[in-house]
Amino acid sequence: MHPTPRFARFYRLIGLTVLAIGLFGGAAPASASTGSGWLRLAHLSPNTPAVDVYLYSFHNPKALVVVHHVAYGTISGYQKVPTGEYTVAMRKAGAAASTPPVISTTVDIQSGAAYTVAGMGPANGLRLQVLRDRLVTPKGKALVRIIQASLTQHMVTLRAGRSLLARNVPFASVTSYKVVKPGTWVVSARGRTEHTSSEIALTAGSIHTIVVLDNPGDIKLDDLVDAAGSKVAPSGAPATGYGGMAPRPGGQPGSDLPWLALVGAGLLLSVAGVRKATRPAGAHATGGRRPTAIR
Amino acid sequence: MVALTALLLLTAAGTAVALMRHPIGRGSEVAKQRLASVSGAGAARSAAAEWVARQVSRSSIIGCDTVVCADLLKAGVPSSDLLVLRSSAQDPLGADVVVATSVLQSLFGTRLRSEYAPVVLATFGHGSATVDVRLVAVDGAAAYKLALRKDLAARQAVGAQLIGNKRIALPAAAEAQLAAGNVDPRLLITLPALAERHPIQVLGFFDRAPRASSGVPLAGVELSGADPQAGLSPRAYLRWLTSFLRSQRSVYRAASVSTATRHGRPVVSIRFTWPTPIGLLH
Repeated sequence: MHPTPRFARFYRLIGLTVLAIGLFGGAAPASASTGSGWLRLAHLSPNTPAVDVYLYSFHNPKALVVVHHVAYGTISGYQKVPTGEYTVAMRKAGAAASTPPVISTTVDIQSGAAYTVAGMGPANGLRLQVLRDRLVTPKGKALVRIIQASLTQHMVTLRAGRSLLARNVPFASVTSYKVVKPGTWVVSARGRTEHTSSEIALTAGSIHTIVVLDNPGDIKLDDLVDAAGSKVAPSGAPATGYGGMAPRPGGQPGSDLPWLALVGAGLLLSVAGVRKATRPAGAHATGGRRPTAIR
Repeated sequence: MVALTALLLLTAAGTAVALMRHPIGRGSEVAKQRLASVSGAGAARSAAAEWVARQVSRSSIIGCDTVVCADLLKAGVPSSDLLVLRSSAQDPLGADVVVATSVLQSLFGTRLRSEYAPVVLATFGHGSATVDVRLVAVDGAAAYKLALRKDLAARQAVGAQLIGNKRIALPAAAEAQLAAGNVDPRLLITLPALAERHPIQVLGFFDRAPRASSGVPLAGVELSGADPQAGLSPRAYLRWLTSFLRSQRSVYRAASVSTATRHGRPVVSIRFTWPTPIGLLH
């Protein structure tokens, strides 16, 4: 069913209104006290089984973030998370909450900032690495960084068209962001025995993380949009259903969840209004089962 | 490895014989002082070696002179963890920790304290018999001190956050230590993960090394081994607590997790090894 242009405008207006209420309504109480940042989780360790990832707030034991069943190649959408320090821990996917989680790292969420917590390296050397994601580009440019998560191709060289993006990027490493001229580019990745390419639109003001992944008998590229438009905060969790804040039974005062739902509803209505199929920034699942928040 | 062990033991024996044969005139005050100094130095070296064997992480490489390295071997430190420093042509930067005796002081001069290893983890003995266990600053003293200052600020910031955690009960002294950034980051990082599951009661932070530099944090904590608010029997609570701690890996695995009964109630004592890793808190 496609709305007529008149209804499309109506949907868009209602959607944007709901989105604004959700954003401002949710932001006001939080930012008055501590504010919030954005966080997504990525499993980029090829031979590591799926895990459940937990973030424990130093200050507020109720602000528990849980993402379940993160399998290799899964990158969750961004989630809005209250500012502060968190202990990041993992359990084997599906392990009971009563089993001890294994502490891996910490992340300090700062107001308005975005982070990727990525499981990197081989299974026997798995580490969670916290990456600060940029949200602003130089005027009229795009930014690209590479995460090399292919274990079968230890070194990979990436190009956008003929321009070199990064040479011989070793497994389990992340490059810094590189400024790129906007355009639709054939991005190629070449390892010792495998290569692949993918057409990626790098629009002005957009920020991308291109992930090199093992694909059975092959490698592949995944393009994550960290931000699109220099003033746009990352989004995705409310609309995609990936992970999310884990509410305690009975809810809690000051929870962002209702606001996130409202933001999600607003986004959906806006999207319906413009009748344009778009993929929310940062929302990707290239392998494994879709993670869900169950607590 | 066997050859190195033999060499170290022979060197130590030789040094001991040389010291015993050293001409000491009976009744001479100077000789008495020298003897006291020698025995003081020996005691300080032994104490330092014992302390390093018990308290320093087994993933650390320890720089030492031949005599101290022999003491460390005897104390149970594997020879593969030792870097024997014999001449000033070497530098101690290949080590994580250096046991700074007068021998090493004379080898490296003031650079040992000012550049190579500016932070004291622990000190044993007095006067000329002093033995310091020092942290090696691989990137230089200035960079290390800067990193240490940042780490202290991070410990203070997250310590303040932990004080506000309603599931962690803290005595006033522990609150003050958290606020001052005096608690090891591995403990700071472990506590919220524990508290999310069940409330915890901190009885106190402990384990300051003898005469450590300011800024070297406390690496141990005592927790109550039971909590009525957890809704578990004391036995189940204790099992959960110790199982959680013993399930940790690598840097977050405590060197020791022990239980005891004090005034009729269970106490869990957790202690991490030194050196405290820098940069765990972002």
